[in-house]
Amino acid sequence: MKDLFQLIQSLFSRKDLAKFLMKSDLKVRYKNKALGFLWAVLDPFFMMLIYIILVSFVFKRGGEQYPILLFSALLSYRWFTFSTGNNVTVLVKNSKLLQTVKFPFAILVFNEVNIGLFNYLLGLLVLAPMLFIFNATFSLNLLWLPLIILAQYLFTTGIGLLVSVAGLYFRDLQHILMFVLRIILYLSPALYELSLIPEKFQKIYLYLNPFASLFDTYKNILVKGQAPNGYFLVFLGFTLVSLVWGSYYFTKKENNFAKDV
Amino acid sequence: MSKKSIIQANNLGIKYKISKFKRSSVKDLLKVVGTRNSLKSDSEFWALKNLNFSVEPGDILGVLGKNGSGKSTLLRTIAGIYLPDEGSLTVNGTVSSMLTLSSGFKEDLSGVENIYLIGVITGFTEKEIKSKFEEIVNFSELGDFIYQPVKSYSSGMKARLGFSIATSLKRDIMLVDEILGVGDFKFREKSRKKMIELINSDITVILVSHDAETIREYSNKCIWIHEGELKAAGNTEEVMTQYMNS
Repeated sequence: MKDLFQLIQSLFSRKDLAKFLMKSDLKVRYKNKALGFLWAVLDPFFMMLIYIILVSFVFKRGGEQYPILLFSALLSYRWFTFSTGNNVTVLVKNSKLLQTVKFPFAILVFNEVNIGLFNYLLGLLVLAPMLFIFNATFSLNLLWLPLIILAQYLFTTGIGLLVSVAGLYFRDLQHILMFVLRIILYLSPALYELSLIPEKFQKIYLYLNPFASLFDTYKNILVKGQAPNGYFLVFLGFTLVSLVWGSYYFTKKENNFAKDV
Repeated sequence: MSKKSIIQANNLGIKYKISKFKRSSVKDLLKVVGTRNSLKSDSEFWALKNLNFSVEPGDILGVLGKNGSGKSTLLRTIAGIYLPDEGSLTVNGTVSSMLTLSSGFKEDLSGVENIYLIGVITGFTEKEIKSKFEEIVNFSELGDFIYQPVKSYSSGMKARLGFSIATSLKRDIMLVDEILGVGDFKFREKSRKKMIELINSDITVILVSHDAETIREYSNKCIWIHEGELKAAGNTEEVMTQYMNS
């Protein structure tokens, strides 16, 4: 717990660093392209288009609201895979930096989560008009969204802290992680509805898979106008564990990074 | 030893673990299982051992030694990147380093963006960098090139920008690692003058070089490290004579 508070404190004490890291990363990513920042919006748009064509037109499955149900979960998972996939190599990629300057290295992990969040928010811009087109139910429960986003931010950070250290000491992890992330997607109710899981397994499914309650909550808030249910506490539990464990592991190993990288 | 020392090393030791399976991958793990070697069979290597020295505020400390003698390890320890594995190192001041010169730039970003990025990484606030910005650009003589991506710079231009950033955004203690001869002849003269200016200010400089002449020219104090251990310490001329005669 103590490590966690110190970590958060170090992030706030170096706000300028966090800001410029993000700014320069975004610039490198988008600046030299003809369409620039538009890609941050076009990319989720095309992703959505592919799934809609595949499921609604080719397989002729899914209901009327399938595209927005899918997209509200997929956007969130896109953020998670982006940040986690980058965090597994973030220490190795910045090895020169780690060996020349001392700064709170966890900022590099936060940075990947921040960029993922930035992309996620732009993705919401694509989703918003779709919600109207596909007759989503709007209600005040939409106000839950910032809190859910914050929870996902913290969860992604906790996992990021864990995989960044693990990825430094076990270099194969980045390849293994790609498979794991893909499998998690199919094991989670993004492409399908939670109700598709046989009822007697639903409970255990929700307890074991943090993404089950996360995706379900996103769909409930954005599409169905429903408040998060009690199972979201499961996700919050996973969040707390990943944060505490991640910050402990990261802080314990941080002083060795420069030697071990 | 006076109480006011800005840097004080007592029996300082830094060790590296030489792991046979450093970049551990699945293949390596299988190898370990295959040969029944335990992962713990790492050997140790002391890059620095039993180091005792002190630096007073305003000193220019030259660090002499061959390649691989532990000079860079010492700089990294002063910079706070390595923690002592043995003994202690007390640093009573803030440290900036010139180590970042050659490797710190992001090629796709402009000179301006790189100045800010390196500045905030090394611990300065946006405001502090802004106040030094003009000084950096002027000294680097890059003109409008400062708005171009760094990948379009020649190596001399990069070195000039790096030198300007390091000498403008400075702390109580400055670490310098073999970078005095940057740029063309004219800029080298200018950077030499700037170094002398820094040396005459109250800033403390740790200067690492395997070139004895550079050390003789700038430093008032000197330590000589050989294979991680202190061979000699004292005023520059004394240490230099021993170093030359070895």
